[in-house]
Amino acid sequence: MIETLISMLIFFMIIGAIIALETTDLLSAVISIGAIGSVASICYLFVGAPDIASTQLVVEVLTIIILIRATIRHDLITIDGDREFFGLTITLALIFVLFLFGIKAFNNLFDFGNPAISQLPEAPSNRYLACGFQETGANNILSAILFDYRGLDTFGQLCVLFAGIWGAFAIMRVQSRRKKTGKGDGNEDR
Amino acid sequence: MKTDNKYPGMSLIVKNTAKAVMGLIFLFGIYLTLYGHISPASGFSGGVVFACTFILMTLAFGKDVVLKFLGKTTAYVLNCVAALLFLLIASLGVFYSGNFFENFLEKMYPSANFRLFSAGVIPFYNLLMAINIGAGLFMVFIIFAVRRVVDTDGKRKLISTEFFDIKKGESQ
Repeated sequence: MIETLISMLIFFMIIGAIIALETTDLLSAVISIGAIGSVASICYLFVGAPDIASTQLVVEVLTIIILIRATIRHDLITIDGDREFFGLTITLALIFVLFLFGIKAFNNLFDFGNPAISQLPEAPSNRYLACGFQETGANNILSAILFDYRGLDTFGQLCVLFAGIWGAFAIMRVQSRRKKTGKGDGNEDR
Repeated sequence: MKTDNKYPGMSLIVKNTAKAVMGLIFLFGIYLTLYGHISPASGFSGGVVFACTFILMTLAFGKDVVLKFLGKTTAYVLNCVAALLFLLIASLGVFYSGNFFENFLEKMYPSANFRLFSAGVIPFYNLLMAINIGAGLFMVFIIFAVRRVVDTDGKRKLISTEFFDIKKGESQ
């Protein structure tokens, strides 16, 4: 049951990606990307990761705002006449379908107060708690998880931060390194 | 924004308070970093505290004092080398134990409870994470701190000269 629902959602995401690639105006492409992200967050809900789902939703909304702000300057689309009614119907139907999917996903989650760690003995959290010290030697279980069990995640986090810092460094630099005059003049103003 | 050339930074009270507090804050950052595998702390919070020390120093004494300690090249090198060493230690697990991010030191030398030198490679990860985060956050702060609007020929311009070539004794 869940597999069919997830494959339907993935099919929807593929359609959204094709639309985002093939459409001619930038605004539709941005909105298709947003639709892909929202459906991906519902996929995360189905596989039982509500925290990742909320993160995905927040990041997607932020990305859409930034992308629309960046692209709305170039072309402004006004929808007129009968296209408006058609688009509104499609939008409402899609929102309703996604709402039904969301309700289904919430029914699929574990009950509040009974997480997976208390119901499945083979859950990874049980292993962290049971033999975390014997395997890693770290008394702080948070350090043991962050740097040993999920070290690759931490390394990815470090890489994201590293790239962000260097990107900020490259963007905020006023004086380009090529034409260095040393006295502070001859640089572009931003 | 015009600063006095002779006495850059804030007033005497702020400077003296910062002088008294700064060392303790740095010491607390070292504690958070080194005891990250034993007590509730980690390299991330330690690095943020390191960066906060230098930010406090910048706010109190002006940027010229700080850029002598931790200039452009030092912050670059610390940030990059810490990230590369993180990857190197993670790759050493492949050679010694067969898995990426394997705790090979703990496998070879099992450690006692609640010791400073325990938990294999996790303290090294904490240390490198603290250095990386501290240098990176300080870089982000100093980028904003060294930007300055000056009037040249009636036109307002943003310049950031001092971060790129530091000249001692020459301030604006």
